[in-house]
Amino acid sequence: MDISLLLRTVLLSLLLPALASAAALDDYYLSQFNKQSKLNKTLSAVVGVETVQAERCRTPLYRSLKRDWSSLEPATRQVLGKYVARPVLSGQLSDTSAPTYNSAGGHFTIHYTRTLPDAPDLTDADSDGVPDWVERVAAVFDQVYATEVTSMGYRPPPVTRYDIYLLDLTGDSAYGFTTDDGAPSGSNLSVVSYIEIDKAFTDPMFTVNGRYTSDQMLQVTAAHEFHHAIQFGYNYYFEFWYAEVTSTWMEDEVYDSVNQLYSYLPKYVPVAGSVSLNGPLGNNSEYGRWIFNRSLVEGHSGAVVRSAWEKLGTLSPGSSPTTSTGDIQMTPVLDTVIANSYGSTLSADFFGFARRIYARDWTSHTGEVSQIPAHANTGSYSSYPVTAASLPAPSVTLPRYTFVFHKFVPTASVPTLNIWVTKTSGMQSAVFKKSGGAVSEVAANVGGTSYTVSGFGGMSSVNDEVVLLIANTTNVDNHQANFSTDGSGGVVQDPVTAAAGGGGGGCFIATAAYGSYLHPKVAQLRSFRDRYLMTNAPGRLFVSLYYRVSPPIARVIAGHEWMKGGVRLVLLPLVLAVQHPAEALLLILMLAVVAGWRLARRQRFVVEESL
Amino acid sequence: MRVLLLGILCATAGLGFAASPSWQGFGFDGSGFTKGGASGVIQVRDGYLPVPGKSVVREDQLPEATGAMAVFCFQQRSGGKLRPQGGASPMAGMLVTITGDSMTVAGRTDASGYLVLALPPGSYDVRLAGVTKKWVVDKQKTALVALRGGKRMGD
Repeated sequence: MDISLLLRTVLLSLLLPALASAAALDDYYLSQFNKQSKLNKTLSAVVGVETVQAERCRTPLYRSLKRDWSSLEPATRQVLGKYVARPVLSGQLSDTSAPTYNSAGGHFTIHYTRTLPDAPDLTDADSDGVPDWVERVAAVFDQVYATEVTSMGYRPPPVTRYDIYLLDLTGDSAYGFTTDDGAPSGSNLSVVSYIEIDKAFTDPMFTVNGRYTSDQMLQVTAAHEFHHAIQFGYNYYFEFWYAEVTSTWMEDEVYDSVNQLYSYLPKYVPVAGSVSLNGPLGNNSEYGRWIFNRSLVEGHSGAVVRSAWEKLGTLSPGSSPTTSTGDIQMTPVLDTVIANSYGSTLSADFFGFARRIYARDWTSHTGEVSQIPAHANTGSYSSYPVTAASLPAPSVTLPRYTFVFHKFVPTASVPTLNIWVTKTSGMQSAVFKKSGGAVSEVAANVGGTSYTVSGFGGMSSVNDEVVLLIANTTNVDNHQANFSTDGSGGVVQDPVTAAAGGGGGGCFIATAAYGSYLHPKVAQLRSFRDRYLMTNAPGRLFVSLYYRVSPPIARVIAGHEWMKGGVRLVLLPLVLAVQHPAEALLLILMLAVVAGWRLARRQRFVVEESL
Repeated sequence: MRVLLLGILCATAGLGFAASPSWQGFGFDGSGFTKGGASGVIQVRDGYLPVPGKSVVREDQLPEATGAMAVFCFQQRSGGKLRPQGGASPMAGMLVTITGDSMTVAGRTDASGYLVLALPPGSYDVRLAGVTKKWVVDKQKTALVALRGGKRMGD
């Protein structure tokens, strides 16, 4: 049998739509969306029909539902209307049939309905035919646009009028959603999206039992979701954690008085030793991580966040390190922007952020500092000396971009406290002295591996403290540090794994020489490592040795501009070999032949001479 | 001797029965396929076309000299201030293009987000919109490929 005919037959047979009746199709979608059909409900009462477990949370199946929309029963449409790709509001037949209202600023179209459950409050006090709440929603989004786009300079989403849908989201326990209209298919990675928000924000779930007003929740939701729309406009392949960090941070930049975002900080600040800044989403920590953006902005300027998004807008997944789902890793982008525009590094800024969490020396939104949770101590010591035998063990292994604090309780029996820290290349440490409510940082002794805290014995054991901060300021997991107060620190070993986050990382020397992790030549070397070295035992051994040896070398190169050119020259043959492997192999073979020929000739002369 | 041979035969048959491959359920957890996952579930067995869903509604042997490819298209969800909204939603009706050394086929995903087909063993580029993944199909084996077709930010 002809293979192409076989393939066509198999393909066609598999792609033929199921010969299901309209009722079966209805049942399928109702079950997928966790809604029970009348038939199923009746049967289950009699024979206990197995219910299909719905996908976690809301399961749209948007596109298929839209495709099959015309085949569904009216009652099914009524139930599932809001799940179609672009929302079909209650009482409407399609996503385009609902009444709309264009915002005065001209940037938004608000879609709403007059039919419950999606209908908002229809009060129309000014009798202009448009519910007042709809007009309020439009005004709030105009205000958000004015701040985020006009004032702060973010690029607006790539559409003339952005679509906002008002619908009942209480069943979804969601303030709102921002969804793209489809992944990009070409080189233009800027995509259009749309926003769905709750129709009223009156449910106690949204107002946190009346702590906030509905209008306040509308405001911060609009600020948050519209920035997601901006993010889709910069680059579809943004990384989720930084999208949430920026959107949540933006809530306070647009509506400074609401302050609901502070309620997410307890999900991150006290657990910053185990939750990576760029770690996966979970337990709402991603919303709490917004505080990093504030630190970043206080360290540089408000433009640093926008610059990072603008930089992302110039990148593509093909030439950048990516996550396992194909999104562009954000930490290298941040590092590049911080290095190129602000003369710092992400590593230094993350350490500065950790310092600020302890010192609480925030310089903006100062009236809200009390709403930032205090740091949490991983360990506390009141028996001295602190050695490897102390509990908790004075030793930490930290995931990428995390930090921990250890407290030393003053005691009269230790007049001067000495702290020795032994750490791997990715760790940074600092010691703080808090006395009489004033916090000061203790400078490291010469060599940078120990600290001397004088007057320790005279400090209050109740109100004063000395705190050691240890931070993993790299994108590599499992950096280690240990410490003691008698100099008896143990051995630490640099992690040998490639950088976490999905795309590998850490061509340290090349990164230092070329100035950026994102440099195309560094990307080529990374690719070579992942494809040809990490796939075999000798290659992995080489990479492992390289990771142990290269970080200190890279630091020296990074600190001396004149060295970078030389290292680039040394790396050139390697880069060329990676770029042109066939030619490189040919050249090596030719050199081997020449070397062999010369060796043979030399041996012949030796033989002739001996004769 | 005959009894011994019969015993060996029975034992071999028994071992063969015990070792015969059976259907295994895989699910997509948002980044990869795992045994027993809850979303994007598909049943897989060597030598058979994989079956999307939680049960094996029919068994179709793979044509000789082919392997199976099951492409799962999904929308990645994230976030959720009040309730976790993360996970993966299947995307139905998505156009998937599969290109091998000497052939290109295309098809649309079904309601469960899967496109299932039999292909000659070899290396293929599997494309959904702007995303292309290179995948290898082995004879009488199933290749599970996940392609993201969209993102949804919750809250």
